[in-house]
Amino acid sequence: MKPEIKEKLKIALHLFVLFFKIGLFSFGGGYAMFTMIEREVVDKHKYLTKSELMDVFAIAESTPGAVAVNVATFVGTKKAGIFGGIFATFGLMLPSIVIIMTLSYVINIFRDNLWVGYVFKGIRAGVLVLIAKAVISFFRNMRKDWFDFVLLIGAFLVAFLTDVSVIYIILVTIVLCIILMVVKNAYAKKKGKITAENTVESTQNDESATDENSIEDEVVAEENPAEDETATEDNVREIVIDQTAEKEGDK
Amino acid sequence: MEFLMLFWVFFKIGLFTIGGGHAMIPLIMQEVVAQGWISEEILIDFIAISESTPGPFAVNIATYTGTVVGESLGGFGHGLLGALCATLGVVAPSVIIIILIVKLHSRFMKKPAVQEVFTGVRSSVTGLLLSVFLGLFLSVILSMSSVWESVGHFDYIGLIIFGVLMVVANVKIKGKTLHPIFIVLISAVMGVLMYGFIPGA
Repeated sequence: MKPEIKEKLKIALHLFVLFFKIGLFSFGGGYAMFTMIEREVVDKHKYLTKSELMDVFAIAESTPGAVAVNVATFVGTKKAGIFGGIFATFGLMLPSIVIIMTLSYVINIFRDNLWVGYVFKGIRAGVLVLIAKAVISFFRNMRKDWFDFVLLIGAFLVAFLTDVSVIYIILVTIVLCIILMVVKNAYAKKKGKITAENTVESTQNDESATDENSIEDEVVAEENPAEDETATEDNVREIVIDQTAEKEGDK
Repeated sequence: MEFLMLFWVFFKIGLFTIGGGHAMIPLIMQEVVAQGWISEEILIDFIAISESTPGPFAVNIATYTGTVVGESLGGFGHGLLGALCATLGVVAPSVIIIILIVKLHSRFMKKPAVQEVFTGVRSSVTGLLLSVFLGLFLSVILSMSSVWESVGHFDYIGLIIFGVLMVVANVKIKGKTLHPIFIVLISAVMGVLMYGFIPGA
């Protein structure tokens, strides 16, 4: 076996153990796992720097799927290739699978008990609180343009009053976002005011329109010199900057 | 066949969830209950269990659904296979997408167009979650299965537990709110005490 492959395998196995531990000891998933992952991946084993980890979380949050799974796959793939990603993800999943399977058997045995029934009746009201909290936290972290409120209210009404699949609602949202971008872009061009934010459309087909894209990059650089520095270093970092700028805008 | 369905349904759930765990609830509610795999009531119990056990919420809920569906077809072996199908299904889209992103040097994610779409989807998901919340509120507290139905049995004890915990859950001690696991524990204790000992409840 080549020494580099051996080294990668070693890292992959270690990541498996590491994420097994993270899966076993962190409750709540996603951001609740941040501290735990930070301690293990950044402080103890130095697989990533703190700012790299924050970038990973920014990406993990804006891609489909569970945030924790995304983080595990990302760290694994970056450090030890595709197998590293798969190993780390399996490590994260394994404790959940074992614990949940055990619990599902135990619950089935006790479900018919009257007092256990009261426990679950109480818990159902408790879950309402947890979901209400999720709604509030989603709302707090949401961008709050007029268009976002249209999306929020539209999605709510369709989901609440009809049986339309959630998948279609999300697909329609994606289409509407793209249409809005195109319209905004056309409007901005008409006004002859090409700013970095409004040339979104040109980046959509940047393979064909490299000229336009380079112009746009210059505009970005002029507007925000700090962003330019990080862009040469690591593309990902921009996302974090964008998001923090967004959040600051909200406040 | 059922196992393939488990994989496929959870693959869809994994693919169309943006914003992590809780964003998954509306889709899980719809897909899993619509398949007739698990009743809405049991699913709600399970949201509580997922919040109070370690590991990612999405993985927990997929494992549980898979186990229950597999169980119903056979013994332990079927349960395990079901759990594996559902769980692999829910993580497969993320694993594929993240590996692609790492290999493509994250260029794709950086594009403003992509960011714009994800931000928009999160606004929609807020509305979807709100709809789930109201739907559950109607069914748990008012025993109504849809908005069009007249008010069924009004569960005032449920409403009291909800009200009290809503206050407790938002109290900050040293800048931190209470961990979900304690909300679940308190609601369980209140459930036993109030449903068990208040006459006529």
